[in-house]
Amino acid sequence: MSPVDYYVTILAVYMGTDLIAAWGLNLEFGVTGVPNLAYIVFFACGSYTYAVLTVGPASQFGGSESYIIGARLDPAVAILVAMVASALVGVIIGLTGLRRLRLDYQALAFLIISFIAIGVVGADGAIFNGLPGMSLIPNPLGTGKGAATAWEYVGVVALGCVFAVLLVRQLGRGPLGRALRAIRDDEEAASAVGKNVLWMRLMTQGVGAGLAGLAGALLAGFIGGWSPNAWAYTETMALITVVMIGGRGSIKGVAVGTILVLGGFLQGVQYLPTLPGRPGTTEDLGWILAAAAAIFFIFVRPQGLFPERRPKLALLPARVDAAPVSSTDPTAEVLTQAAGRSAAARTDGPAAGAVGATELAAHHVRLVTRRMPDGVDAVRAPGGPILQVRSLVRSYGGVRAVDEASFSVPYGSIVGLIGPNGAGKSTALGIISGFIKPDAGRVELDGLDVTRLPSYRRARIGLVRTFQLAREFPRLTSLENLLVAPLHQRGEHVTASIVGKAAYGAQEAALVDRARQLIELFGLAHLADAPAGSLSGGQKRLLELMRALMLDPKLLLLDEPMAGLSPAITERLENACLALREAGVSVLLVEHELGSVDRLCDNVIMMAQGRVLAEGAMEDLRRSVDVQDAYFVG
Amino acid sequence: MPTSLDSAGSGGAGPASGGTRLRTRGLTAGYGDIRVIHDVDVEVTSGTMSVVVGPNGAGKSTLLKGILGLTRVFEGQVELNGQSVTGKPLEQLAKAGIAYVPQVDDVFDTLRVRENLEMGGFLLDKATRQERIDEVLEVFPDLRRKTRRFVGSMSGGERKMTAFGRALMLAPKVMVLDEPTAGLSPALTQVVLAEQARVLADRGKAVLVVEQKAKAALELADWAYVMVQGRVAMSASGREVLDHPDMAEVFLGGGAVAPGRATG
Amino acid sequence: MNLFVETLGFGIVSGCVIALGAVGFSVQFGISNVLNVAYGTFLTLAAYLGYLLNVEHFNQWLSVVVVGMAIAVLSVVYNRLLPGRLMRRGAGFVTTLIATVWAGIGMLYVIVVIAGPTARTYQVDNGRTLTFAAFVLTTSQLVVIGAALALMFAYHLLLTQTQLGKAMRATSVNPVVARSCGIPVSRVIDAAWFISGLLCGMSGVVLALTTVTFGSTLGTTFLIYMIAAAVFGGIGQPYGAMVGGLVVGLATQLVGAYSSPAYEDVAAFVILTAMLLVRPRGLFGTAATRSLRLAGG
Repeated sequence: MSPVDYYVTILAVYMGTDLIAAWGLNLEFGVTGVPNLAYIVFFACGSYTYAVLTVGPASQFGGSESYIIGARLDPAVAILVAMVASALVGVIIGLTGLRRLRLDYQALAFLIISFIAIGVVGADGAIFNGLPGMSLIPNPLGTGKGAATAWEYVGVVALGCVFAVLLVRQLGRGPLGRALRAIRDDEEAASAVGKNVLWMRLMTQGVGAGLAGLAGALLAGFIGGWSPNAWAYTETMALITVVMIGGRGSIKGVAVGTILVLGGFLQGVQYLPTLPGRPGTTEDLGWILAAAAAIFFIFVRPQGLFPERRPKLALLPARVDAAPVSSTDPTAEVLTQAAGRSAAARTDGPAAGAVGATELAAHHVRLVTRRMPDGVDAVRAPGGPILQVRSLVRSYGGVRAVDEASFSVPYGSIVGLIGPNGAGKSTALGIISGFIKPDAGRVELDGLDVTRLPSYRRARIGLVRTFQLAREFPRLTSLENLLVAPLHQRGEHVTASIVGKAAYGAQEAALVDRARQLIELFGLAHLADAPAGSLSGGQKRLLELMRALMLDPKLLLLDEPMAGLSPAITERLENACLALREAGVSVLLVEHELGSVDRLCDNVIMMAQGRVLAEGAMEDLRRSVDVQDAYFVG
Repeated sequence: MPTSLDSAGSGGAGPASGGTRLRTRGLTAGYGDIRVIHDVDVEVTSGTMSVVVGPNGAGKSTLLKGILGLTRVFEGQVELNGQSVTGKPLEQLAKAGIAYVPQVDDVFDTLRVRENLEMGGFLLDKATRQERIDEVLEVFPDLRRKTRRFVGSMSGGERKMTAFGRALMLAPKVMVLDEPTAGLSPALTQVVLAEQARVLADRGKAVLVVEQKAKAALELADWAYVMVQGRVAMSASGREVLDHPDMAEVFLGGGAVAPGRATG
Repeated sequence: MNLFVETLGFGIVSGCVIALGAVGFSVQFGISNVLNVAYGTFLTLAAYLGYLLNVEHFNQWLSVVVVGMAIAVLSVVYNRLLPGRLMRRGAGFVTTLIATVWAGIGMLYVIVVIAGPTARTYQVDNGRTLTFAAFVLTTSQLVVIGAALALMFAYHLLLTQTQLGKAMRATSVNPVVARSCGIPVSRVIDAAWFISGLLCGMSGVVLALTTVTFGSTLGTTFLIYMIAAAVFGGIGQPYGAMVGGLVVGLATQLVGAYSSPAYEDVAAFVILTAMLLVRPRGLFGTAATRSLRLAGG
């Protein structure tokens, strides 16, 4: 085999396996935000499993080919098993509670896992054969190291690359990719809109690890040897940097990054001067340059060479059968009157934008009554309350933030929750939505006890909250923010995602239409494709409300939505709340803007010092001496 | 008995008579791109206690943060004795004689009481610092026996006292207090406002207080600003505001004294 | 029983050194909210610098101090160039961590290129061997224990008796109020990095003295012990780091003696992970300690 062939095939195999691994890591870190600095362990796991399964039983000469299993399996099978084994290890590591930690702590823990794992493996003689590792691992294409075999092997690796890129592309696209990115941008907010964060993280860790295993198995087959020393934590650092330099979340970016950085590294290392009398320093110099380059990029271009580009969904043609809003709709008339009544209740002149309210209202009736298959029929005879809260108690360091608070929200009404600072409103809201655990008490949604239910499950059964500080997914577009929310998206399932548009295309198109109409009604259509992080504070507030609406909530918990908004946007928000009520959605509104509370709420609950102090219409509360004292005296 | 803690001038004396004036002119401030307060003019002079009251979300805290350069100022000025101090960093304001006691996180939890005071007097030389600490402990005799305790383990009232004491160490001319009675019982509220904030004003300091517990604060204030929806709805003496018939309405969002809605 | 006592002795010596280093690491987190993984490389650098002095027959104890100073200065410069600057620009926690890992790798390989692959051996003067009760310790080991304890005590005095120390504690816990007291926060941060660098450098040389022969992996190995100790005691809490150091030192030596030296790392790792899973704020961390959990937990 000519030296050129030799050199090129080695380069191609190394880069190919690194590509597979980089794409897998990109799915974990770039797309889903898991800072897996132990990635190389899965790579090593794949290599080792492949080796163990393909190497024959002890030879009469002993040495490093003598192994426990001696299975001598078919290489193809061995590769598959290696992938599965790595995926399992990935999932197991993902199941530990480390994911609850701050991200850099997770990263550090992974880093240390990586370091320890190699150390342990290197020291163990029985299972891993210690530092010498293994050798004489059979090449999947049979013996004979001729040029043809080497090039065939490049072909095998290329096949692996194609498999890997297709897999990560399908998973990273569409609804699933969107949900994963939402988790990356804000895990809690993703949970609040009903995503099962744990399951999705485990899934990506499994797939990412599996791909690392594939890469490892292929590499082991090619090199024919395996040694713990090759799997130092620095290798993961190189891959992480490739992802960061190439562009987190971007498949093309990572590919370019891998070829440039790793190819450049492998190639460029040859040209570095060798210090006299010091063989082997070229690699060391390479690492120094790599470190300098990585730090340089972090300072100068942290978003990478090819920053992730989000799809411009607003530019898609509208569906032909999307029904336009009609003003001769009888329901719309009822709603115009309702909007008109609330406008008259205000003392400072006629409400501007009453026409907008009508359209919004009519649209919502249509949207909200078109529920998902196992949703609740919106038009239903009022029976018990939609929300019942009994004797909630929550203490912080000996002080009762919520002290035996009980109240309810009747079906199809807007209830206000007011009170001075420190009254316990936010804590109560947190308990109801599942983000804070109560010390005692019950929360019942439509008769169902949800006290123990995690927040994402509550979102799925119709109990949706917004946050006081808008928590949008900053790197997704406005439209995508809305599209993350809806439940039962077929495209969020792994199999459907892999199949692609054929499986989820129709449903996705319908959702996109719905989101576009909604965003138009709220007057933000011009920002549909802009990254949500670039919106103004008031716009983010509107976006968050829209996102909550996409979940077809039964009960909407609004956490001080009117704070600091201009009168125009406040009006839009108020109209939206009124329209929702007409459509049968119940609202619990925590608010300081008592003017809004007055205009919107059927009933107002006042809390002070953790207890419910009074209840009634806003006008009545205003006149109550106790309430005045509580607010005025504090 | 006058000590170095007392300030020159009393009873509302401005700079002309040796006192100090802190004021804002047309201040518009907020977070990110949200403007929370608009065109606010408030003022406090030596020997007086000015309070800022109003319903929640009115922008009271934002006003203080704007004065202290802790939040974005879109328009307007903050002036100390006629010199602009808009947006200056806290360290400089401290040296200029403005002391700040935030609403929460107002002390060094992991330090002892005495150490908190020592930090307050970081810029002083050792002798002066010791003297000041003694003076502060005279103002807050309750702390005398507790100087070695870690503040994190103390009650709300004691923490507030320590916070005040810390602020007093630099013998400031102006004290800016953000809801000093937050989380305190009614009895302690009285103590903090009547015996601490008011006394400081009587000793010649310019005390600007933002308070949610309006009634208690207004009873002790020389001057009051009522803020509603980010603007000053009323500016009058404490007594006048207290006696105003529609005050409860104002606080609970009703009509009469609400400012007109600006366009857009 | 003899093995136990002997291991105990080693454990205490080891624990003292780990404690020193852990305090330094903890201080960096406490003051700047950054997990500085390059700390390990600074340990290695200290060992090599100490070796240079050792070859010249410099007094071994004096070299501990001299090298400590050198690393102290380097640490201040390092913070201003890298982690401090990144945090000021708003880089996220993970990005900053990755940057410190790379800084550590880069600097380590510079050392390797200059120093070469051969392990170095210190000429250590162990002094006499002394016996009390069942313990057999050399003078050298006693000096290490003594010096470590003295340094801890000195650090304790710094924190509780000097304005600088109190300012460091104050800045750690409440930078806003610190500024409003007029405390020069950026200079206090420099001082904190100087002191932590000093502790780092000193423990690096002492590590080399105790292990006698070392290579470029010295720093990385012991960094893991120090991180385990710091997290165990409560990251950002210097007293916690001291206790954690002793715990980790004893645990690793015992594990190493009774099963295999290879599992020493594992012991440290188990301590670290267990603490992170059960009580991330550490033994002495309070709820007010810098949050390690995701917001809202």
